[in-house]
Formats: sequence, C-alpha cells, structure tokens
Amino acid sequence: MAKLKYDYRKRRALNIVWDVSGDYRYSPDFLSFSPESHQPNLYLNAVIGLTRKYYDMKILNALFDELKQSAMEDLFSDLLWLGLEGCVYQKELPHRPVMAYLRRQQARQYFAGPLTIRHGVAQEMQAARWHEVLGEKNGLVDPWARGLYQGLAFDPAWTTEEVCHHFRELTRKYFVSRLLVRESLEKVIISNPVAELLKFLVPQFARNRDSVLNFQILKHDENEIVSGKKERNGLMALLTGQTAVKNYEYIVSCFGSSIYSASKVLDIERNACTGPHRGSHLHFTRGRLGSRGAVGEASRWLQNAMKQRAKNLAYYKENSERYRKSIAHLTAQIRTALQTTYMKLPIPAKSGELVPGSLWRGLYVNDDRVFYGREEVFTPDFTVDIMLDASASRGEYQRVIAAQAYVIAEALRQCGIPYQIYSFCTLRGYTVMTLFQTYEEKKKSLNVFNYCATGWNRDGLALRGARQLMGDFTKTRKILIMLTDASPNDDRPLFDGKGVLRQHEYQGTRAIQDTADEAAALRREGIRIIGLINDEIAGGLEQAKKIFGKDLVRVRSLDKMAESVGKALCHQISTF
Amino acid sequence: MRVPVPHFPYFGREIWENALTALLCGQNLLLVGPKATGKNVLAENLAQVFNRPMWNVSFHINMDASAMLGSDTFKNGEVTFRPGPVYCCAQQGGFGVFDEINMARNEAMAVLHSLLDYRRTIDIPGYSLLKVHPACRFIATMNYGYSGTREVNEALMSRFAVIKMPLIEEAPLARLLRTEFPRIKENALQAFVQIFMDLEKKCSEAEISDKSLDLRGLLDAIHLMENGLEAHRALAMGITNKSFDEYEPALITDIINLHIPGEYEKTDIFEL
Repeated sequence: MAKLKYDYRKRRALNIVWDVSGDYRYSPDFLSFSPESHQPNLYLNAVIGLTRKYYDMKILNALFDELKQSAMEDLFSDLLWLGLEGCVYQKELPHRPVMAYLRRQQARQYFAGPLTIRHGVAQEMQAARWHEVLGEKNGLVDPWARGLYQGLAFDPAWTTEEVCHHFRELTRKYFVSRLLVRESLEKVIISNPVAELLKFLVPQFARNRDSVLNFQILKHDENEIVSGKKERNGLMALLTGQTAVKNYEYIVSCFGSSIYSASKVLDIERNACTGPHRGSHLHFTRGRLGSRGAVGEASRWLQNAMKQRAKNLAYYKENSERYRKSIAHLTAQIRTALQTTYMKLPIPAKSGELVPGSLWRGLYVNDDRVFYGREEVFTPDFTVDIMLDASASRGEYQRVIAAQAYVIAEALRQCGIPYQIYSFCTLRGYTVMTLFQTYEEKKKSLNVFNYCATGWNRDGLALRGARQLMGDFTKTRKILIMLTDASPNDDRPLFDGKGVLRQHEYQGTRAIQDTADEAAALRREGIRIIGLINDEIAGGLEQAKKIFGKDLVRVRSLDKMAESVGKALCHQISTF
Repeated sequence: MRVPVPHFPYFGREIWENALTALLCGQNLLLVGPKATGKNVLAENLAQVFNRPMWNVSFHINMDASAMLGSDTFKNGEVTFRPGPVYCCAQQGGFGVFDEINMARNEAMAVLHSLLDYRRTIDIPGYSLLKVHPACRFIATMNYGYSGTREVNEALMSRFAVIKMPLIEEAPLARLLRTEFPRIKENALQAFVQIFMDLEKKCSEAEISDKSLDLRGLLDAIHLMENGLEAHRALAMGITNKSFDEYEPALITDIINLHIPGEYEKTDIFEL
C-alpha cells in the first residue's frame, strides 16, 4: 500500500509536469515533493515542466550529469534550478497569469516550512529569491553572496547553451576560485568537513533515482538474454534417451509438483492422453520459484527462470506508465461492452412494469402479459481463460508477453470478470500447464511474471489440458484466449492409429489438423476460442485460420496485444 | 412549434459545409465524436437553418421498434395506432435526431433500414405503408470516445453520411464562452479555455477518464460563478466531483490550480 501511495504521488507530480510542458512522453529526472507532507509541490513541478517547454533537456541534462560528478552536486543543482525558475517564470507569466499567484504561494510556503532553519548557500539564495517574490528585501549582505545571487538571474532570452555556459562560468567564479580547489568544475573535490556541511543542505528538488536504477537493470538484461537463450537450446538438445522416472522427476523439479493427486492425474491422462496424444503426459502445476534442492540441468533451468522473472518485472516497471494506460483503456473498453450487453430487452410478463399500450390485449384477447418483466441484475456469467504459449520460440519476447498478459489480467480483474491464466510448454513428453492465477483468486496476478519459455509446444494436448482446467461448464460460459504461433511442434510422435506406420512427427499439417480438431471439440462444448497470432513470429496465417476460423486476432506487434484482445473480447461479449 | 431555437451556435465552417451539402442532397447524417464536440448542438442548428420541426429520440439498450415508430393503444373502445416520434417525423417532414444511436441494439434498428435508404418508406404491420415526406432527414449522433464504444453495424452505417466531429479547439471554445458570458474578463476566459484544453489532453493520454471532460459542466460552473460562487467550488461541482476515482480529482484540481489563483471571485472573473 505504501508503495502504491508513493506511485500515486509520483504520478500526480508527473501529471503536473506534463500539464505545463504539454509533453506526456517526457520523463523528468527531477520531481518536487513538499518536505513535510510529501505531496507534490505544484509550483516547483510546474517549473520542471516549463523548463522542458522552453529549453533543450538534452543539453540541460548533460549539465546536471556533469554536476553529479562534483562533491557539491546538491548545491549546484539547487542553484541551477533557482536560476531556471527565475527565467521560466518570466517566460510563462504572459501566457499563464496564475504563475504570479503560485509563486507567491510557494514563497509563503517556504517560509512556513521546515527548510528555513537550515543554513548554507542554497538556503540563503532560495530565501533571497522568495523574499523578493514577496516584495521584501533579499537580506543578503555579503558581497560574495550578492554577486552569486545576481548571477542566478538568468536572462530569459538566453538559449539553453547560453544558460549552461553562464552557469559553468558562475560556479567557476564563485566556488572553484573561492575554495581554491581545482579549476575544472567536473572535478571539484572538497575536504570532508565542507562536504559534510554541504550534505546538510537538503535539496527541495529530489532526484528521481528510481528511473535511473531501472534503466541500469534493463541494460544488464539485454546482455543476459543471449546467454539465457543458449541455455535453453542446450536443454533442448538433451531431450532423448531419458527414462520415464527420470523424466517425471525432472519435470517436477523444474516446474513444481502437480496440483492434482496421483489418482486424479491418472484419471485425466486416461481421458486426455489418448488418440493422437498416446504416450504423452499432462502435468498441471502452480510453478515453482527458487532452485533449492534441484541439481544439474534442473537447477540451471530454475536459476534461469528466476532471472527471467526479474527481467519480466524490470521490463514491466520500466514501461509501467505505458502499461498502466493500457490497463485503463482495456478496462474501460470491456466495461462499456458489458454495460451494453448485459441489459436484456424487457419481455412481456404477468407482473412487473405496466405497459399501457398492451392493456387492450388483456381485455380483448385475454392475454394477461401486459407488464414488462425485468431480467436478473448484471453478474458476469462468463469466465475468461488466457493460455500462453511458453515454448522456446517465444524466447526473445518473454518480457513483452508477460507484461501484456498482466495488462489483460488486471483489466479483467478490475471489471470483476473471473479469469484464469496459464502457460503451456512441452518437455520430455510432458505438456506442462503452469497455472498462474485461478478463477477464485482475486488478488493481482503478479504470478504471471513467472512466465518463462522453454521446450516445444504440443497445442492439441494443451487444449485438452485447458479443458481440464476450465472445470464445470454447466453454469458459466467460457472464453478461451490462446496465444500461439500456430505452428505446433513436439519431438514426441502423433498417432493416427495403431502400429508403427501410423506414427508421424508432431509438426506441420498434421499437427495443425490435430490442433484444429481439438479446438473444434472445445467449440462443440460451447467454449469460445480466440486465437492470438502475432506477426513477429512467422506462423502461417492460413494455418491459424484452420484452427481458429474467424475468431482469430492478428497481433501486429506484441506491444498491441492487450488492445487486440480487448476488441476480440468485446466482440465475444456482445454476441453472447 | 417544434423548430428548435438552439442555445448555442455551432462554430466550424468545414463541418457546416459538409453537413449542409449532405442534407441538401437528401442524405442522412451520422455525427461521430467524443464527448463535448457539439454533436447535438450541430443537429439543432441544422434543424433551425432548414426551418424544420425536430424530433429527438434518445437511444438506449431497451429501444425497440414500438418506441420509435409507435405502438398500439386503446382508445374509445378501439385498438388504434399511436404514432411514435420517428413516424411523426417521417410524416411531417421533420428532422429526426437519433441521439447515441450506437447504444441501441443493432437488431432493434433493422426496422429503420427502409426508412433510411432509397426506399424512404416504412411499413407498420397491420396499419399502413408510410411514404416519408421529401423534407424529412435523420441525423444520428454517436459517442466514439477514448475508451471505445459499441460499434454500429455495417448495414446501418451504410445508410448515413458520416461526419467525424473534431474536438473543440481553443478559438471556437473562447468564442463560445464569450457568447455565453458577454461580461467575462479576458484573463478569466483564457484560464477556463486552457483548463478545458488541458483536461482534453489529459484524457487523450488516458491519465484521467472522460467523465470530467465535460463542457456542459464547465459552462454550468461559470454560471455558478456569475451568481457569486467562488471559482474552485464552482469547478468542483461542475467538473472535479464528476470523477469518483480515488486519485483523479487531485489531478484535475492540479490543472485548475495551474490556471486560476486560490480565491477567484466574481469580481475577478466578470466586468461588473
């Protein structure tokens, strides 16, 4: 909750910056919060936005980065902001007369706040500025301070380069020569006591360190993807020659134990692992995190999965603003569809709302249905299953798929629609269904970030697995959204009869046909299936059409997955 | 009697030209656009310009044929037909405004097909075949907002000429406010215009929902100010309080505070 509040405050501060800069793509390095209430400071955040509006942030950020190298980073940043505040104020005032009022308010707040008791150059300069704003004397007596203060009155007509140049000169003149440390600003080194003293100055402009950190994590990621992929390929090469026991142990130690009892598993396999899937297995699990107790290949895989989770989460965080907007869009879209669908046409009834227009029927043709009956109040009587293909071909897109799945899940959750999310992949003859979230769970589906791709994809069997996970059909209608590349592949054979000659490789046309048959079987049971195919991965559209028919959504880029799902879902909802 | 006298004039040359040409050529219009783009204002203005009586039908999910065309009623011991708004409009050569046409079920709208296309007739089963008056036109409006809405099906869509209504721009909005409030001071006018523009932008960026992007609300709020209510309180009633989100109102308040100072009274806003 604390985190959420923090995020909200940050978002509010960002919105102020965007309001005045007009640039909603701008991600500022600085945001300002009140030192007491930690609420966003309206005026100072507006100054940050206006700086973006009037100056070239690339050049200014370079200067801020330069300042970071110095021991007096905070002091210098404060002084630079003070200078910028003065000139963006003058530039904006003609367009936004309220600035004068906001600036006075800021000055008053400053003197009412806790910062006034602090000492130091930054405070002195700030106090002088706010005194002047309130029409008082600036209170500076020391000629050095007066000189510096005058230097901070930047000319609004200056370009960004001129501002930077002026500020470099100013700091050189008033700090470097005064403290006689070094000539270049970049390497100002100050003796410890002075640095300690300077640290005491609490800057009102707090650096937005979060985004910097995330950025570093992300870069680290990119390098790892390559090695992660290699590891998966290595795993694939080891697929032959294992005994059944070893295989099962391996699957359990990699993906976690089954959610069903042994007898239930047997039961399921007796029903599902038949016909073309003879000899294959289904493994239902909630997944596992951490590699404790695992050895060898499994341990390496688990470590890789852990890393992938970190990558998925980091990627989501990095783009959280964009995804948050996606969630909001999708939620609104689904809500609208629900609202317009779930109100049924009134039906003539023997009780309810009297319809004067039909009264005559009661009198003359003895039809006593002269009322409109009301149908039951809205409750979502359908559930959504999201099945994600987690085969190795998804390697490079794992982060995006996890983030998009989270967006869809979160939107469904906010609309109050029960949903399930699971992924499937096939390894050593086991089609593993990893269940991230069940219908009953109401919390945020953060588990979806455990999504990790490996192995083959035996889509036909996965559909049988999905049927199992959907449970009871009698009360609710089901929509299954399946993300796939429509090119099922497995190293275990496909059977179309008994005998060695009736064995075929599970790939190409046969595998497609098998998947299409399974999809058709589900459709016959009343399940709506939506196929999500994305163009980034080469999968013949024709093949996908064979499986999903008209209910096929092409996702042009995985970034747009949530949007496409929204459209398809709304269509399904409105045709119930 | 039924010829409307619009409260607001519609500003926008291109839209006027498109709409007038289509209507003169005998076509029906579908006005599509998000909230506060003046769809109904334009419809009223058009009816006034052509001096035609207007029937307004607000569509909703429970809309059915009888609500539009008419229903059976029992009068003087006899079952008779009580004409609905669409029937009257077609008979008397009026302008029928179908408000929020996409909120009705597409199936319910099928009865209108023969009315809207070249046949220009409507058959009331058990009664008569009505030929539509040559001056009769239909203008449908449809809210197509940031969050997406129900679609109108092809069969219905093909019977309309579609005009995409642009979001109101700064200059027309200023003109509108000046017409509505002749005594408003220039500074205050600019501030209100900017507040609305900023809300629009924030909406299109999905930072806030479009509940608070309410031009009617803004006008109502300024009316309250004209009667002496302080600006922030008036705007809270007209705009901010329309959002029931946990966080949105703060974002909207920030926008307002970035344009008008703390105590903004009638004397600051209007010439007395």
